Amino acid sequence: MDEQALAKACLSGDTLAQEELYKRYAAKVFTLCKRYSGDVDEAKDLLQETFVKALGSIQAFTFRGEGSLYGWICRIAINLSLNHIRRYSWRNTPLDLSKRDYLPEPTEDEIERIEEEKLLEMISALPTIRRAVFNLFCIEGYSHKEIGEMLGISEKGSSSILSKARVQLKESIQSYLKELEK
Amino acid sequence: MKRWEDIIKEKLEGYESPLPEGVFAGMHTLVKGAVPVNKGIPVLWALVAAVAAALAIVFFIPRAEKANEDIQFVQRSEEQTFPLPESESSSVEHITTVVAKSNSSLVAREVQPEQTVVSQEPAKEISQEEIPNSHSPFIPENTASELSEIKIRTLPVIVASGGALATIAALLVTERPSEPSANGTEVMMGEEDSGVSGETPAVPKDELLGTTHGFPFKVGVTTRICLSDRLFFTTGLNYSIYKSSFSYSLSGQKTQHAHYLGIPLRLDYNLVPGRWFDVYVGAGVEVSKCLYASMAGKSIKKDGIIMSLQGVGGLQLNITNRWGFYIEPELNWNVPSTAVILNTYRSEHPLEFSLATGIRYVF
Repeated sequence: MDEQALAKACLSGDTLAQEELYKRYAAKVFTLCKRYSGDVDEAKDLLQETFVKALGSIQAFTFRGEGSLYGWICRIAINLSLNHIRRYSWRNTPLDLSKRDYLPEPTEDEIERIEEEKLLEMISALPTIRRAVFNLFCIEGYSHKEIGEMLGISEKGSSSILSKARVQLKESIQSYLKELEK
Repeated sequence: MKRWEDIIKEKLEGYESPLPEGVFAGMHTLVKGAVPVNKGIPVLWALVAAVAAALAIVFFIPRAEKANEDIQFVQRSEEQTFPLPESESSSVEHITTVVAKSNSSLVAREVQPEQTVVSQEPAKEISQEEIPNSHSPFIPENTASELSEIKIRTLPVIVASGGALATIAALLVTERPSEPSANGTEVMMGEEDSGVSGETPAVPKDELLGTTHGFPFKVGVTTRICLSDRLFFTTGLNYSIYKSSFSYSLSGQKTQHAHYLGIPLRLDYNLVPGRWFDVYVGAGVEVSKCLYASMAGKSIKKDGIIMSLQGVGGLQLNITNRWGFYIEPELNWNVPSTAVILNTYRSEHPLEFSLATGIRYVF
């Protein structure tokens, strides 16, 4: 069943189509949720909310080619995560003390030695705002201007937060690699 | 050359995390609208409501004195016997027998192993209003309903959660009697006989018999500034009151009140951050100044600036994203200082345990 037919079936309330939708995309969406969330429980809640919202507003989906349904569901997950971050961020706005970036960048070989689950864990371990900015800039490909509008921060702030996120992630990678060598 | 972030992006692009169990079943139910999302919050609120209700029942139910079924009342006879005051009767065994009477004045007669006739005054009817409860070990049957005390402890309850927390704080307020203070003051009544003439009688000294310090309680308005996801800097204003009772041999009971205003400077770490509750620990200092001190209603000399080291473990109820209500058991070590001149719980216990509550604004 292609995405357009699947979306139509879900719109008509077909339980089997809903199950098919979940089976097809839940694992990938859960990976995205893990990247944006601080822990597994939060990612689980986000995944559930995403699919509930997707199935609840499937009538708003417009098919634009294969892959657009998956992209639409991912967009819902990201928006839900950003809503939570926006609510959370202005409650706890860190002063974010500056840190010098003296660590070398990890090589391709070094990154290949790290399992995907461990990488997700490292990204999840970043503070909320840093995690969001890293995901939006490095993984989703948004600009600092767009990120600033999404999170309610300045463009310069987004750039500064990203550099701190990079430093912290590099530290996590280096310390994990040292553990592996032991 | 690829950036290391792009390498991470490519590595994660096609990856699918193993799904947790039961997610689809829960999601399916939610889609049907059958069951609302349960994130455990109602359990917490049910617990808070149950605690508040239980405490309200304990503290708000009126209590009435029960009439003892074994008590009978007799009419006062020519020989008038007076029951001993409570403080003196504690060591005397009483065999109390009275005969109940339906109407007329009733007086309790205590029959002791050896009857003690206190006075030979003619018998006098005592009306019901004159029977003092503090001297009568029991309440006459027909006056039980009139004289029964309805004890209602009232506590300031503003909101259900604030009331439950305030009641918990009140439970911790216990007076700790201490031994007569070494610094107890003696009030001289009149002039003391210098012994020159040998004829002037000695003026009795108003000696301090005992001191009781009330448990300190703090209320404050504080603010919290985020340093990182879990680390905060807390400061604000804390008002605390130290109440002490002094018993003197001649002048009786006197109560001292000392009011302090303190500024805490503390680092707090959020152990369990949550949408509704934060559980945190903290350490820092507090600088306090005594604003006003009084003894038996009269102003007295007060303490100076006091510094204390503070350790806290706290619970904050997040009312909104910015405002919260907190309750903090605290352990304070008061830095020894000559500025401390009052005899309070603080001076008696340099390492003091106190309870602070209040509202907090989070930056």
